[in-house]
Amino acid sequence: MSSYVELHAHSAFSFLDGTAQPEELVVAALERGHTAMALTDHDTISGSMEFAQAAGALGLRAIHGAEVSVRDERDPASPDHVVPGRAVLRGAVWEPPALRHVTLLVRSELGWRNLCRLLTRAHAHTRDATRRRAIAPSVTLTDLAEHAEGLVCLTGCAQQGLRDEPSIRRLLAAFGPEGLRVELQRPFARHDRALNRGLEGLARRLGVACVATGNVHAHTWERARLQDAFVAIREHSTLDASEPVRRGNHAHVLTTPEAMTSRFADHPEAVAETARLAAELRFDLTADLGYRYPYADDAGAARTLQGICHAAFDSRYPPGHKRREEAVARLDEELRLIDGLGLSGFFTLHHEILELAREIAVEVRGVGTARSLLPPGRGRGSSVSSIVCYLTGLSHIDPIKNALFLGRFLNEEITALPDIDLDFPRDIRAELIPRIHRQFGPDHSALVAAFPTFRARGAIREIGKALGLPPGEIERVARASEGFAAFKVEEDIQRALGDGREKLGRWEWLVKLAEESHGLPRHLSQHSGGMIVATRPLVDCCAVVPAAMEGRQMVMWDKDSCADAGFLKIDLLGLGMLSAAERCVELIGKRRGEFVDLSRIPYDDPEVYETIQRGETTGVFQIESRAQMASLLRTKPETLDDLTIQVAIVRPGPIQGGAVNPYIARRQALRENPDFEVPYDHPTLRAVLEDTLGTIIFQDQVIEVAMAFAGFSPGEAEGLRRAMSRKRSEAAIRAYHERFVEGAMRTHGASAEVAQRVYEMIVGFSGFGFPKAHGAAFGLLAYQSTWLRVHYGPEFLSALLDEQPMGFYPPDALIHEAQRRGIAVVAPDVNSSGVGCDVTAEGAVRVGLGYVVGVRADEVEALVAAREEGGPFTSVEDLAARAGAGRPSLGKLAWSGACDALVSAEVPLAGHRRRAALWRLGAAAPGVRVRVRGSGPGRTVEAGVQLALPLPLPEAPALPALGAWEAMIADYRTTGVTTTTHPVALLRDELEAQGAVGTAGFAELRHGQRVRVGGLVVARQRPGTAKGIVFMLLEDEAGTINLIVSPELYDRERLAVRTEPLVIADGVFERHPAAGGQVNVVVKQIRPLEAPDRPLAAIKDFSPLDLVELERNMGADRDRGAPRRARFGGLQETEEPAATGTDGGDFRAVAPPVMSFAQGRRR
Amino acid sequence: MRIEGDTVDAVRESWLIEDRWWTDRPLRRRYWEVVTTAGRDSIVFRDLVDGRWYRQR
Repeated sequence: MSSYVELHAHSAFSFLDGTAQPEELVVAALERGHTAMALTDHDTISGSMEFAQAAGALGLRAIHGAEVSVRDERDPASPDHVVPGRAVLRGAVWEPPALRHVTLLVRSELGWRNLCRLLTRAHAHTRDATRRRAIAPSVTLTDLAEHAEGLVCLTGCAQQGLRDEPSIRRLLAAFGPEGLRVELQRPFARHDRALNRGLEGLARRLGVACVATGNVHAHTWERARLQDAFVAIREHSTLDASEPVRRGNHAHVLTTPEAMTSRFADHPEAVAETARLAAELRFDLTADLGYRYPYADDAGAARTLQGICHAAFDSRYPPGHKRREEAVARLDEELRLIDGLGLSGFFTLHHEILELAREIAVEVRGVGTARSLLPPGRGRGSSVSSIVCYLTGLSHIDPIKNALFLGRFLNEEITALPDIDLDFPRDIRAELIPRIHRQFGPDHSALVAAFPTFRARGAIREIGKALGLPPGEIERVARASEGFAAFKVEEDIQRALGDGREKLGRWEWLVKLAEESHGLPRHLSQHSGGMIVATRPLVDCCAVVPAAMEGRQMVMWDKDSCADAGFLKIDLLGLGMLSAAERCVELIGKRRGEFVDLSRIPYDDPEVYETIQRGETTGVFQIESRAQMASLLRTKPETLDDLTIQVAIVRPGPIQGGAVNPYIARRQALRENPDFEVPYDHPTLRAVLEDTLGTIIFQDQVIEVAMAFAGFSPGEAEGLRRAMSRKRSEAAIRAYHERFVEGAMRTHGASAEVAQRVYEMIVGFSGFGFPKAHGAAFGLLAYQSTWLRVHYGPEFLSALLDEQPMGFYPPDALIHEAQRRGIAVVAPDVNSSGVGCDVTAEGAVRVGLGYVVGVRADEVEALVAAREEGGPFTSVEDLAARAGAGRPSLGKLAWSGACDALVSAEVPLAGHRRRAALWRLGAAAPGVRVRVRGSGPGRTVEAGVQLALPLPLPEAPALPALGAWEAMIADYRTTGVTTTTHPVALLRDELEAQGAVGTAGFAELRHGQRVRVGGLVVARQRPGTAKGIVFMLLEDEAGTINLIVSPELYDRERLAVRTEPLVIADGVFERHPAAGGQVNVVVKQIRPLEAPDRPLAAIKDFSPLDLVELERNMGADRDRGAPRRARFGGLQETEEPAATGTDGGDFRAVAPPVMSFAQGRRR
Repeated sequence: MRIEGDTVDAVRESWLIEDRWWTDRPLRRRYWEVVTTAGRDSIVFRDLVDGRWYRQR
């Protein structure tokens, strides 16, 4: 044991107050000669498990603890009494000024439990439902006293530690002299030595030992600088302005024990105390924390599970069923395996949760509805391969019929708990989570945390701001950035700003700091659906904090830490397509009186497969993307089995493994010549690769090949798969490689060359791929959604529009595609639209009022309720008087065109209606905030908003008409979609003038011809597997165009490619016969599509300027007796500007967000 | 050690400033607050960038 042990260190999990990953701290500590070290993050143990695991692996003794914030005892309700002004900001969190810090270290298992309970208490009030903003976590001295056992308390850091004698005496009473140390630090600040002399005196008086600590915040000098930037970010400030709250030097970098000993030369006893104390802190976080999942130790679980399976068996495989015998054998085998692994309770628990979901589904869906026929949820992932899952309702796929391989999910050698992922419609999942909290007890269940990390774009924005760089330029750099790794910010700056700025001053610092920040956790967030349940209170194992959504809570650990702790994580995922399918089935029932049971639809419907083979799959589950469509034209799926492969094929594993092209080529060859012989590298591969024509497309085929060809056991084969997918140590992979080649030669006498070739096929697959079971589950939903699209087009579109965001295409593109195949779509209308979208009696899809952006859901509901109660609105005045919506919302409805019908009688020209409706609205519901004179000279107070009165209104003055372009902008601005004229149709003249061809003209083009095309960008992608090529999907009024952009061109025109919503491109037209009619344009030149002579110049946009104009009109009307703006005695009023577009009709500002470079949809 | 002729008797405090590293004029100074035999209290610092000694007051 060295002379000095660091007992106070922060990792990046202190969120903006620490810059090292726990693992980096461990490595640095060992390098600098430490043998033990404590991690004490601010009010969290989120990094503790990572720290413990890394320390255990590398040979450092990990000590655990946390630096806990203590609020003033005399003010027990202080979180509710935050003093504004004096409050300090940490992150986006308000921190009351009175917070003090103490450092808690864990001595024993009991101490860990107490620390977890304390931290849980510290965070319990941080999401107080009555207050919108998050509150900094804190505890009181009483809380500390109640949880003192097993913990050692240090009095805290030099800046914010506890100093006053009464408080320290209270700690002494609670922790005892053996559990309390006065903490001395030497941050090289101005009054350190005086402070330490004072603290030492206090310690002597109280009979308490002193201990020296380093308050580490970084492990390198570079990170110390980042720490300075983090302080600025935390304070919402800049480096220049945050000097008073910074440490002022870099003495908080982890140094050697020797350096620390000499730093505390004045206090040798405090240094010696570090080692003495450390020797007592023997708690090991990697030991058993006592976590058990419900039924884990239930001796009767095996029988229970068997009972559940047998009860369901006959309905799935009735006597005489052709696969009954096979199923009996499979079930016996699985139950024996599960029992042997001690996992019967695991399945029983999942079954119980599914039964709970079933109950909830009945409540959420209602009895007798069309959707009540659907199962409450369904499995995804490898668990679908299990017959036990099938019989317990955890899967809806028959593993026997689909020939699904179990080994990837379960085998005799598994050491970790298997994964069962369950998909639910969103509304059922939303109810299920709080119900699980209730069912298993609020102390016994929690969600899993996740930690968003610094990536290029966030780092550029946040650190750039801290450096005080110009906001506009920061934004340009951020947008030009690739978004993922923050290691290449230099290039991002070069591209966005040019002129060698990346080498200049603060820009150069941005490059360095962004790189340092990459991958550091930014804040605590929630995992998409992982749920932990336990037999004992979870707070005994890990602290639990409230989640952002009310009624939900989560542990402080992410999924990896939970797995390391041996927690069972159940994934409850919300799947948009399941919600959409249910909504669609419901709509069909309502409109047509047909009850669709999706599990009983015909699975050999030729119309469905023809649609799929033509690649007309927009909106369909999984097979709708640009890449999928291109592939569909070539693979031409004919069965559900083909779809199982299809959903798995466009994944990194099969693509990098080189499976895709051979698979497609062999499929095409077989189609042309049924006698085509599929080549296999070795005869033993035929049995396992027959379905996929000799290629490896599914994850489990890696395992099957290793078993069949190289003689691996299932556990060994799964080990190989894991080693490759996680890119573990080279050594492990090399060992597997040797065993594989040897095994193949020994068991089958394969030549070394063939063995090597097969091994390479497997290595290629190391990227992500689907297990076949997952493919089967997703392929089925792909078919079902196509079936709905084909037979119930309007209902399907309506359901998709209401379940956004989901899928690949923005709602605007879904609408345009539907319109192209003859489905009518009508814009929202206050007299006929509902809250959501629906289908009219004539079969048109009517966009719901909920689509109007900025109108609150409750306002839309009130409007619809008022209409249902009192009949349709007869006029704008009637709407304003009855709708119950505020003026800004009504303004948005009018500007979206939803009120056009109310003025159609008096305004015959459609182009004039929106302005007329808005004008009438302005007069009927002025939205005037009435202010009355308050106390004091010139003071006014708000007295409310003037109510709309159903008064007869004068006629609208002659307002300029809305041009088509302007109306389209208004559509996008208010609803994000346009249902009338496609924006590209409005630019067609311009495009023709520039010599561009539309998709309608593609039939006449030859392969290899030069062509110019233009359109609206619907997707931009640069798959990691495509060597830097960017794919863009454009849309015009008649169809879509695939653009292929080379890396060189992308480098040159990055901003146009990344950010322009309308582009025009020159390139080579390609239509390869083998591509099944797929058309590509290989781009040579690309630029923004500007439309200089669009009607913009002729007709001004409605803007505050127009308000001035309106007022002028009203002024002119005044003499003719038009109403004047009221001006009463003691009342004044202020006018709110109308809620309409003001940016001169710039399409960029309103373009629908599209799928852009795997970052989800962006504008 | 002497400051302007006075011998340093004791060091009261010493501290370190490392700041403004992102600017053209980074700050790196080691400060000492000392008492001289003449009973004078003074603050001196060494600029770690140019290596020279300064007296604050």
